Amino acid sequence: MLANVFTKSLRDRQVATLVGVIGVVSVAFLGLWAYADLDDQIAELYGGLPEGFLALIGLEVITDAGTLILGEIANLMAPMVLAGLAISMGAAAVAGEERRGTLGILLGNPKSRVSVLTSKAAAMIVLVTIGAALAGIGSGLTAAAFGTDSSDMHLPAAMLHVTAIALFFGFLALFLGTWTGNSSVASGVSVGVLLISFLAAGLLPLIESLSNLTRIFPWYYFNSSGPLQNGIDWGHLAVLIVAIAVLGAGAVVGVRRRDLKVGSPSGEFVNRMREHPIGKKILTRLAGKTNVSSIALKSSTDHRTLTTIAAMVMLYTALMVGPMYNAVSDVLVEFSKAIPDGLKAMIGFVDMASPEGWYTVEVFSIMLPATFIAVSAAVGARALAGEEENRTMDLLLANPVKRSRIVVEKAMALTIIVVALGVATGVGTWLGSLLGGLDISVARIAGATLLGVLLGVFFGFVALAVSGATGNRRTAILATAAAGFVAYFANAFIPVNESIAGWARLSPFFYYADGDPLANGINWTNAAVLAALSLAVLAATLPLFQRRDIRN
Amino acid sequence: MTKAIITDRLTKHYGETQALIDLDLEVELGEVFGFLGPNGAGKTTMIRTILDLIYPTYGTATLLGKDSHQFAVELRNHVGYLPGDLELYPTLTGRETLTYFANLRGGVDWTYVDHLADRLDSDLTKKVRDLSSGNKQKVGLIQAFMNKPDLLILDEPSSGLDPLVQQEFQAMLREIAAEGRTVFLSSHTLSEVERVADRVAIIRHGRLVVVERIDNLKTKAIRRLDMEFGEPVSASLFESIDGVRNVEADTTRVSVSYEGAMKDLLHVAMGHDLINLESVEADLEEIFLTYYRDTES
Repeated sequence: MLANVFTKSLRDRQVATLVGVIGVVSVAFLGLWAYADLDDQIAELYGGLPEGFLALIGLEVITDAGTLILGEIANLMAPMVLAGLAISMGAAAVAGEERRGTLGILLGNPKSRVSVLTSKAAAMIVLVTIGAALAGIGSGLTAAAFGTDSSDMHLPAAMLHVTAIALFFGFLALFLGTWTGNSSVASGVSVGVLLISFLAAGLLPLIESLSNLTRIFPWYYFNSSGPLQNGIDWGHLAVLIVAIAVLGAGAVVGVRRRDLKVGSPSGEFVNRMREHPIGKKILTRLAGKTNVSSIALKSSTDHRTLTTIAAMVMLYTALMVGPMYNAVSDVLVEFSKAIPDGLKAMIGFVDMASPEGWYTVEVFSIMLPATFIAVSAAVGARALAGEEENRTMDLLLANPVKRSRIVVEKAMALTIIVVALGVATGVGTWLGSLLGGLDISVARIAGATLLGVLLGVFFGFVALAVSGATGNRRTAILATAAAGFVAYFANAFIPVNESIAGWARLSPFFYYADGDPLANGINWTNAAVLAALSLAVLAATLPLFQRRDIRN
Repeated sequence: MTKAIITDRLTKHYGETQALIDLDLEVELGEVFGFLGPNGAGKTTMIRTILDLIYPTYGTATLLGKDSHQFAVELRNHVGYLPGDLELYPTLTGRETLTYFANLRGGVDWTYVDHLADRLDSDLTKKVRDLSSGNKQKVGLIQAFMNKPDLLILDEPSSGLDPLVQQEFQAMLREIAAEGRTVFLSSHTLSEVERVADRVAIIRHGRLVVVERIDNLKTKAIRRLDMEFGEPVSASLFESIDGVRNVEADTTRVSVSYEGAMKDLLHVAMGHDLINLESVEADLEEIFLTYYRDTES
C-alpha cells in the first residue's frame, strides 16, 4: 500500500462523496417534509399492495412515511449514488491515469503496479464506506427529527449492503479498466450492468416463470432480503464479497500482464479486437467518423459512441417493455386498484394498469430522464471545460471565432445528441406498442418524447453553463447530477402533500411529467416553459464564458 | 508606422501571484523576435494575454495596429498561433485536424498545406493519438502557418522536433520574415532563437529584463578564451587584467572569461609559452546568465 497514492485518491473524490451524501440526505429531508402528514394513507396504500411489490422495493411492512423514505434511501438512492462514486473511482484508478498519461510517471517511481492498484482500491473501499455511513447517519437523524420511530429498522445493516453493492460495481469498473486501459469502457459498461441489474431486479419477479433469473444479477444479493427491516443477510453479503474479491484478483492479473498505454485510450483488449477482421469491422462501425466541417458537427459526432450506445439501450428497452405488458397486466390491474386516490400523486397520477401508464412507469418516469440527463450532462460538461482540460480550447480560439459562437455551436451539438436519443426512444416505444398490440397514439409518444428531449436539453445546458463558468468538467457533472437528483425527487415527493404541491413547479421535472403526457397528450405550455428555461440558461452561459480567463 | 506587437504596461495577476508586471514591448513588422525566459517567467501568460485567451489585470496590447481585446476575432484572421505544450484532438488524423481549423477560417490553400507538410516531413494520414510528440508538433506548426498569417506567435515551437526538421523550420521562419511578415518566438532554447531572431527580449519573474539586438548582446557578452601553455601558469597572471571576469587555471590549462577587447589578455598570454588558443563564441546561454546575474545583484 502506498500512503500518498491512497490519500491522493481520497482527496480526488472527497468533494464528490460529500455532494452525494448531501444529495441523499436532502432527498430524505424533502420526502419526509412532503409526506409528513400522510402516515395513515401510506399505511393504507402499502397494506393493500401485492406481496411481491414490497419485496421489490426492499421492504416488507410500511407503516409510515419515515419507513418509506428510509426504504427509498437505502434501496435506491444511496446505492445508486455510491455505486456511481465507486464506478468513477474504479474506472479512473488505472485506465483514467493511463488516459491522462500520468500512470507512466507514477510507475516511474520504484513502486509496483499492484501496489498502486491496491492503494487506489483501498481508497475506494474507505470512501464508499464513509459515504454510506454518512448517508445512513444523515438520513437516520433527519428521520428522527421528523419523529420517525426507526427502532425496528436496521439502518446500519442496510448501509452495509449498500457499501457491498456499490463496491461490487466499483471493482467491476476497476477490473474492466485494468484489462482495457479505457476508462470510458470501464465506466460505461459498469453503469450499463448497474442499470440492467437494477431493472431486472424490478421487472423479472413480476413474471413468475422468470423470477429465478434475478439471482444472476448482483442487485438481487443487495436488497432482495430486505436488510433494512431484516438486518444483515450474511449469505447474500458473502456472495457480493466473493464477487468483489474475484474482480479485485482479476484486476491484479490484468494490470500486471498488460502493456500500459501512455496517453492513449485504447488498451490491449481493444487493440486485439482491432487485429481481428470482425472486431475491426465492429470497432470501425462503432467509432464512425468525426465530422470536422463545423464545431457543432464535430462536437456531436465526437460523442457518437456514447450516443449510439445510449440510443440503442433506450430503443431496446422501449421495444421490450411493450410485449412485456401483456405478461404483467393482471398484476398491474391488481396493483393499481390498491392505490388510494390521495397517493396517486406519488407516481404522477399515472394509471399503471393502462399501457400508457406501464410505459410511463417503466420508460418515461425514471429511465428516460436518467439516461437523457446522464448523456447530456456528460456532453455539456465536456463541451467547454473538456476542451480546456484537454488544452485544445487555445487552438480553437486561435481561429477567428467568437466565444459566443463556440457556446452556441456546442449547445447545438448537445441538442442534436439528445434529439437522437429522443428519436430512438420514440421509435422504440412505437415499435414496442405495435409488438404488444397496445395501440398507443403516435402523437402522444412523440409528445412525451419531445418533453423528455426538452428536459434532457435543459440539464445539458445547465452542465454547459457550469462548464463554461468554471472550466472544470467534474464540477459541471457534479452540479448537474445534484441538480437533477434534487429536482427529480422534489417533483416526486412535493405533489403528494396538497398543501405544498405548488412548490413542485420549481422543479423542471414538473413540466416534463405534469398531466401524464403519454396518456393525455403533450401540454404545450409545459413544453414552452422547458424550452424557455433552457434558452435562459444558455443566454446566461454566454457572459459567464466570455468574461473568464481560459484555463491552461 | 504600425508595429506588429505593442504592449503597454501589460499586467496579469492570478490572485496573489504576479505573472506579468508592467510589460512594455514593441515588435517591428517583418522581424523575427525572440522572447526568452526560463520556465514560469511569464512568457506563456504574455502570449495568451495578447491573444485574448486571458484578460490583463491592467494594461493593453495592440497587434498589427489593432487593440488585441476589442478586435480579437478579426485579428485572428491575420495571426497564426502555436500553443506551448500543444494538445490536439486524439481521434482525428492530421488532415482532419487541419480541415477542422481550415473550415473555421473559411478555407485555406491546400497546395500550400501539402507544401508545408512536405517540408516538415509530416504524415497527415495518421491519427493524432498515434503520433509522437514531435510529429504532433509538426501538425501544430502547419496549423499555425497554413493561413499565411501576418503575425506568427509560436510558444516553444521546436519542442520534440529532430535537428533536421528544426533546421527546415528555422529556414521557414527566415522566409516569412523576408516576406515582411512577423514572427514572435518564445523559447528557452536559446540556441534556436540565436540562429533566427533579429532581436530578443528577456523576461524574468514577469518583468522585462532587456530588449536587445542579437549582435549587440553578443558584443556585450562575456566570452571565453581557453589556452594551453607549455609550462604551468598561475591564475593570478590574468586576474588583474581589465575586463577579465573569471579565471580557471589547472597547471598548464587556463580558461579566462572576459568582456570587451582581448588585446591585453593576449599580450599577457604571449609572454608565456602559449601552445594553443581557442576562443569560445558567446552564446545566449551565457548572455542570459549575465543579465540574470546583473538583475539579481
